[in-house]
Amino acid sequence: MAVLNAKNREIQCKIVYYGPGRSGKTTNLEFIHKNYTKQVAGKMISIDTHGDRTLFFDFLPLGLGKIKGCDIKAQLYTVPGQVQYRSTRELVLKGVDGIVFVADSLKVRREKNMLSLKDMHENLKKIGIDIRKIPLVFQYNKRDLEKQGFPLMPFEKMDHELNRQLRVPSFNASALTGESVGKTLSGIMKLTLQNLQKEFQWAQNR
Amino acid sequence: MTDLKGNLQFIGLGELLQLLGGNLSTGRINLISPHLDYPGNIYLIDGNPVNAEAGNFKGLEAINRLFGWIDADYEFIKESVNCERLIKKSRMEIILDALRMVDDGEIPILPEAKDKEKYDSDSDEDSNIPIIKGPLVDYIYVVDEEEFSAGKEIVNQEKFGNWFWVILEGKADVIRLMPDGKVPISRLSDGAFIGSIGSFMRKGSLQRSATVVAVTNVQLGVMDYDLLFKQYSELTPMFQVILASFDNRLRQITTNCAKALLHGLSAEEYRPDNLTPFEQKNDEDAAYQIQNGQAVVVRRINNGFIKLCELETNDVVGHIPFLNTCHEPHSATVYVSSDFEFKPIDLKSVRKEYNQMSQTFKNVIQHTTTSISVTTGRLFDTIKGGKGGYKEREV
Repeated sequence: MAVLNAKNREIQCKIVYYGPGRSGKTTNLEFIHKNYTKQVAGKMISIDTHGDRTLFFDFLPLGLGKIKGCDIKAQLYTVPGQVQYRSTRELVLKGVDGIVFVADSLKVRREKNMLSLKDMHENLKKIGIDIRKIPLVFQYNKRDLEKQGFPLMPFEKMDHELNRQLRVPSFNASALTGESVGKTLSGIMKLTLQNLQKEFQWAQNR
Repeated sequence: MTDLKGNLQFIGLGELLQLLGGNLSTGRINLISPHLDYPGNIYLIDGNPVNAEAGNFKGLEAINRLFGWIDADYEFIKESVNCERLIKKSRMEIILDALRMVDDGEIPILPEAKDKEKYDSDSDEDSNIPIIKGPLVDYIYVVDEEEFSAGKEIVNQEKFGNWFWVILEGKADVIRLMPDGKVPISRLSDGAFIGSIGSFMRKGSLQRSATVVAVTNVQLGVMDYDLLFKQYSELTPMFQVILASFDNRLRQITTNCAKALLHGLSAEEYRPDNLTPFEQKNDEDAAYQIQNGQAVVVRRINNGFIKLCELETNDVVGHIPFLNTCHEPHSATVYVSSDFEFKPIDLKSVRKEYNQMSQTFKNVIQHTTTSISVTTGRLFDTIKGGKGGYKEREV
């Protein structure tokens, strides 16, 4: 749930990058932080959680307009996948407004993707969020590895397995080279802002 | 003057700091833990923590420790802050790092002793029931998810149905309802299936062979029945016969196990009179389909025999190495009637067919054979008079 800060007329929303360990969540955020310097506000916070890192920074999406005259500020997070990081995961997911699920395209990680999606579904349910209602996009990452001869899952198969029931936007990407990183981010920002527009509209019409 | 107060069980310290941070608040958060005789304080300037105290700790170390005060009362007092700035980290960095330390066990959580007590008593409960687990489910086969809270009945033995579930998380007891009581047989955990392979043999509703009750909150995946039924119907008649015979064994073993648990069982109670042992070497991988007559699978115990199940025409006896029920020839003996006739099963083609099945269908079959072996083990435990310890079996 986005927070309206009346003092500085700002709506703050939360975008979380979720996915199995080493699927490229932090690489996505590092690329954004390094390449979208005009939109990044403040330094990137990086917490070393075993096997993964938890990242956070503020992001000011440009060109997406205002809601009720308020500026939009997004907080971008990655969430640690490991079971033990329950407290961090809960804090990061609480009040989430949009999710990018970063799936690993490597064939050998197929099961890890499904497990992580199930885990996300459960963790959202615990805090009262319906996976079918929250703005969500899928990113099938590491497509660049195909050129190096690694066996990858075809886009259609990944979409069938992960996105068959949810039917949300999905993108092939390579976070390492930056391919479709921006596209994924603007995809989730658009969905999130549309959703917020609806929420604020609804609140005003009550 | 207090501007905000409450308990950290409702809104955690991380969220509280974010809330006050977003509001650019200046003042002091005062924390009182019911387990300690000293308070904690966090000082904020423009929403950012600048100092903290918790007993002998100051600054960052103090604020980190306060993240372990999970049931403390808090109040925020809006006031000017003139203390030394000992904390230089940003608000979110403090929150995320402290939570990481909580999860890594670097910050003590209050009250420690109480939590441990609860954990110990939970783990000792019903420790004589064997647990059956399974491998990770292939999500292609899961068409929906359902939740059952602890104590809720998932399946009733007296009802009909063919729904097939897999346990995604939690534990559920398989309970056989007998005329003189309810008998817990086994406990199913993550990856185990609820539903009988027998339901594929007659599409439509089949009477359930046991009641299944959630022991903890259970999350179930509803399996794609049509997909599984399609795979079953594509099997050769011989493989279908093998599966039908396994289902028959499981139902009989479950009934015998329930009787033994209710009334006890003695090895002197059964004698295979008028039957002769069916010779099969221990190292022989061979299985037979019964063409005529009767076979009884027994376990020899010092003073006599324990009857496991009775088999008849079309049932299967023998040893299929990749579908091990832990019965004959290693752990049980087959006795047959004088008119017993059989034909050998071509295990090479059965194995080839098995190898070509989907992993999920293989898992369903393995779940059945594991259930046979686990239930047989529980039956023997009643004879030994022991409780059998806490056994886990993964298929």
